[in-house]
Amino acid sequence: MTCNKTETLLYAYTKKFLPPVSQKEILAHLALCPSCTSKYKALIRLNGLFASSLQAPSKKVLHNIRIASGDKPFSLFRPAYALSFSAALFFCIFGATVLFKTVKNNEIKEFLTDTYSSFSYSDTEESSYITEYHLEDIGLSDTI
Amino acid sequence: MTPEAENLYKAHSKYVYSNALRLLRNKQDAEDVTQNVFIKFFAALSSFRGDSSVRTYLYRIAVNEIMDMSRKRKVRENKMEQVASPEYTKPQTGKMELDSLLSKLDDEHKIPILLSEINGFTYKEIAEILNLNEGTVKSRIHRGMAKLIAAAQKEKTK
Repeated sequence: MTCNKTETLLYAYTKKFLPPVSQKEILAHLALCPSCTSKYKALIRLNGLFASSLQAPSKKVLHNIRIASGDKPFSLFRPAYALSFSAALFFCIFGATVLFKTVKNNEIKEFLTDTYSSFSYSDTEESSYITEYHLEDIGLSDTI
Repeated sequence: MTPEAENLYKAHSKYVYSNALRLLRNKQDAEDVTQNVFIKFFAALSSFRGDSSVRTYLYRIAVNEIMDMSRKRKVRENKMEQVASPEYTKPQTGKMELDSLLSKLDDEHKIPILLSEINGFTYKEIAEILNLNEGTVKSRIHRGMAKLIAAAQKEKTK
């Protein structure tokens, strides 16, 4: 095999595209020809460079593709989340206020009941009048 | 994004990106191209007629995007009137050597070589991607590789 023919087939030889007979002929020529061997070595080096040139893109690329494909990233500032959060906060504050007021009223009521029940009034009407009078005074007459 | 689409991305993104990076020699441009390629590919997948394989179809979009970006960049650089030289990404040593060797080829030879060497496409598949004859692809790869071998030999003797 000549150098010209070997040079033409060298690429196909490294890729093993050639029939076995041609592969053997080139191998025999390479063993005898330093010029073609040098080219063959350069080709092998190039193959190595190509093989090591594979790189993955950054994660940002996949993230942008996901967004473009309609996948929304999780955010607390999306309208639906913001509305739900506001509603939950409102009900929490409202519930806490009502609960606090009820507890306080009950405490005051219990205090007044305890205080007046300790007096030894025989007339229960007067006792209830005094309790109502004092509850009315502090704006809690409706709670009884 | 469906799990199938994610799998397709995971399997092919590094090939698309590496091709773009070797041709454009700029990390940002290569990432932009990769992103656009997959967005277009996923959008077009529902209307894909199956005339070619999905892989070939993806790389056809990729080659078109890369060429488009390359053209846009040339316009951008001309507009800047080459006041400042473009900021190419500084690659690692092995990649720098490959980029330096590839810079000696024009896109006509570079693209089929990259598709063959990086992606492992056959001549027939490359012909399908580039819309060329198989013979043309074969001759471009062989001519390009001969130039690369000569350049690699020169680099070694330097």
